[in-house]
Parts: sequence; structure tokens; C-alpha cells
Amino acid sequence: MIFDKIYIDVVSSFGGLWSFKERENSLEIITPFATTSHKFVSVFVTQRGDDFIVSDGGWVADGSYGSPFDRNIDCYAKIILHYLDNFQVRETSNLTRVSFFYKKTDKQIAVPSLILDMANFISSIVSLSEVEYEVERKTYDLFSRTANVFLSDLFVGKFETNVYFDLTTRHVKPNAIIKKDNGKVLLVNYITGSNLANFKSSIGKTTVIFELAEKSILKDKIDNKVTFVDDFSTGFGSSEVGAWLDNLSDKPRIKRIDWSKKEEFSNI
Amino acid sequence: MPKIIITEIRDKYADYTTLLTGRKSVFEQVINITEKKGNNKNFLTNRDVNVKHSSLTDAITLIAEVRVDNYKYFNFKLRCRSLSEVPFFRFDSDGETHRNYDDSIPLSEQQITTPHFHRFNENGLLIAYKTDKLLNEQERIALEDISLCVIHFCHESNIRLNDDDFPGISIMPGTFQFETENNDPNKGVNFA
Repeated sequence: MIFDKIYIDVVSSFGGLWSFKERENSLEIITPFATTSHKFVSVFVTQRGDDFIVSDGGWVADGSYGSPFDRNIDCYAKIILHYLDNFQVRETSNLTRVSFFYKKTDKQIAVPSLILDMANFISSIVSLSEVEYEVERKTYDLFSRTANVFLSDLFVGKFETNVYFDLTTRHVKPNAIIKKDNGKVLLVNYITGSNLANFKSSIGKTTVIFELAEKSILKDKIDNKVTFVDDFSTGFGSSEVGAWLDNLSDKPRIKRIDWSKKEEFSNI
Repeated sequence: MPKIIITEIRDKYADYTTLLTGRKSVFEQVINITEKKGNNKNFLTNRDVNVKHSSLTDAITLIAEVRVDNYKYFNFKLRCRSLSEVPFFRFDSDGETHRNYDDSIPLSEQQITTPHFHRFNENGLLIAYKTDKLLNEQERIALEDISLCVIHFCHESNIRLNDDDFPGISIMPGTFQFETENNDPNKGVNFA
């Protein structure tokens, strides 16, 4: 056999990448499968009645692998469906509504096969969530992520993102809601865009969200509405954008804060 | 998309080393973990704790986070925004296994389970490692206690409370504590 030492090394190196942690009624099995975020994939084996369960422990959806899991991106949602379908992976959720992916079997002999499928599934889904699918989302997501980190650090315990202002109608979902000490809230929407059209569309969306907020029965809870403007984005700067932004800022109870002057949030 | 190489750290590696190895001080006797983490409902966190470096003037913060349902699942991070947005040093008590993505390390040694520390190498690559204490099974179990582990973290990152003491940790002081050791993620999940 040629390269026999290499072959033996490959088999033993890969074999050495299996490890485990005991977690009450589940066994975490750390597999040799890796993600592009440079984590090794774990699967969680447990038993329910006669069935063996192999789950992802909720780690894909809760971001444990350090990757986003955004099913609002069409391409990514299709990829997830493709993998769910082909590996016959099922989905459920835990009490805090985090998605769990799993496979189950009543034949113990099938467990390794399920682990191969789940590890493959997790590795692919986590890695593919890191792909930048659409050029425009990239600019938006980058600013959105940076702004979220900045505001959540500044307003520790008072910052929320991806939540509705009015839970009854579910019409108003600004980028961020910040609770003030007076019991009221700041509604914050981010404005960015890689070109003129995208930037204007971002302003338009913010305008509608803020107008709907003022029509909400909860409007008295609004302390102020803030546009958080990415003045470093390539879509910013033209006189047309300036006019659109001025039009929005001229409306009552709207304050504009630019990223370059983000410290103004401290005084709001 | 998370970057593989943190160029800000690679390009200022001498500063990074000074930042990490130089003596740093905190002035809060107890770090209170009381707040929900902004965009992750699974974790509680602290209000900013400022860390002062003995020879640098850069603002440094110490962040402590703990899982709501498992107080043995926590992390500590040190961040210096003037160097990089990414924390420059961290400890993870539990959670995912890191891969040290470096061809010069044999494959079987690239896998670093938790608990582990993270630091950057001279190429700006994030490297996970275990200290001797974490490799010793009895000490590792003792360090599942966040109040003890914070001391190990301070030793490893050269932080002291005032001159030669260590800060304590308090999670949700003054509140009734529910189950705080849910170590099994599958618990309570209905696999229909």
C-alpha cells in the first residue's frame, strides 16, 4: 500500500476528534465535523420512551456556533429546506421557542447513521449562514449589527431588538426599542444603503414605521423616535438623500443621530 | 460574516501583548450580573466594569455573561474598542468546541473543548487553549463555580482588584433563584 503511514495517520487523527460530555440525560458527542466559524459540531443524544433522539441542542438557532441564523433571507431559507428534506431532519422548539433540529429512531443500530446526518446538517447550515447572500443585505446587516452592539452596550438591560412595539396589531417593528427610566420608550430605526436607491428605500421604510407608531394606541408610551443614520455608507451624502432625511427629521417627535455623532445617544 | 484573521490585532501585536500581559486593575469589589443581554435572551450580563491598564490609557471593559438557566455556563470577556471590536481575551466555561485553524498543529490537537480561554496569536488568529488548572479534572470541576473561576480569569489576564485582591461575582442579587443548573439542552423539549 502506498502512503500507508499517511493513511494510518488520517484515520487515527480523525478518530481522535471524537469526544463527549455527559449532560444529565443527554450525551453531547463532539464530532470531527467543523464549521467555517471554526467550531467542531456537537450533537446531543438522548432517549424518549423507545426512541433515540439525536438533536443539535438548539445550538444552531441560538447562535452558539458564532454564526447568524436568519431565515428571513430567501436563499438561506431555501438551503435550510433542502437540507431538512434531504437529511430528513425534523424541527421542534424548546420552552423559550428556540428551534431544535433532530432525528429519531427506535433502532439503536441506526444512531451512528443519524449522527452522521445531523453533524453534516449542522456543519452545512451553520457554515452557509455566514455567506453574504445579497449585496444590499450586507451593508444593511453590517450596520445593523454594529448599531445593535453599540446600543446594547450603551443601554445595558434597556435595549431590545427584533421586537414589536405594539404586540396586539404587530404593525410596528423598529430596529431597536430602548426603555427609558420614565417608563416610556425610544423607537430607533437604522438608515443605511450601499447606493442612492437603497438609502432612499431605507428612509422610506423608517418613515412608514414611525408614522404607524404614531397611529398606535400605545403612542403615548413613545418618548421619542430616533433615526440612526449610517453616514459612512456609500449611499449617504447626495443632496437628494439630504432632502429626504430633512423631510423625515422635520416631522414631530423625530430626532436624527448620525453614526459619526453616536455619542449623542448618551444625552437622549 | 465573522473574520478569520483580526487584522487590527495582527498589525498591532506588540500593543496587543502589552494590553493582555500588563497589570490591569478593577475597582469594583463585586461584579453584579443583573441585566438581560440585549440581543440574546439566554444570557444575563453585567453593567460595564471598567478596567484600568497600568501603562496604557485605552478604555477597557470587563464583560461577564451567564446563562439564565445554567449558572455553570458563563463567559468572561475583555474588550478594548480602540484596538478591535472583537473582545481581545475571553474565557468560556461551557458551549461549543473551538478549532484552532492552523496547519502547523496536528489535526487531533486542533480540537479544544470547553472550558477554555481564547487569545490571539501573532497572525491575528483566534486560538483556544486550556491552562494546567483546566486540564486537571478536580480543579476543572471546582472552576465550574463562577466565583472561583473569576479569580482564575483575573490571574490569566493579569487583573487585580486594587493591588492584590480579586473581584467577586454576584448573579441577580436579592432575587429568588430558580433552577440554575440545566446542563441538558434536550430537557423539556418535545421531540414528537
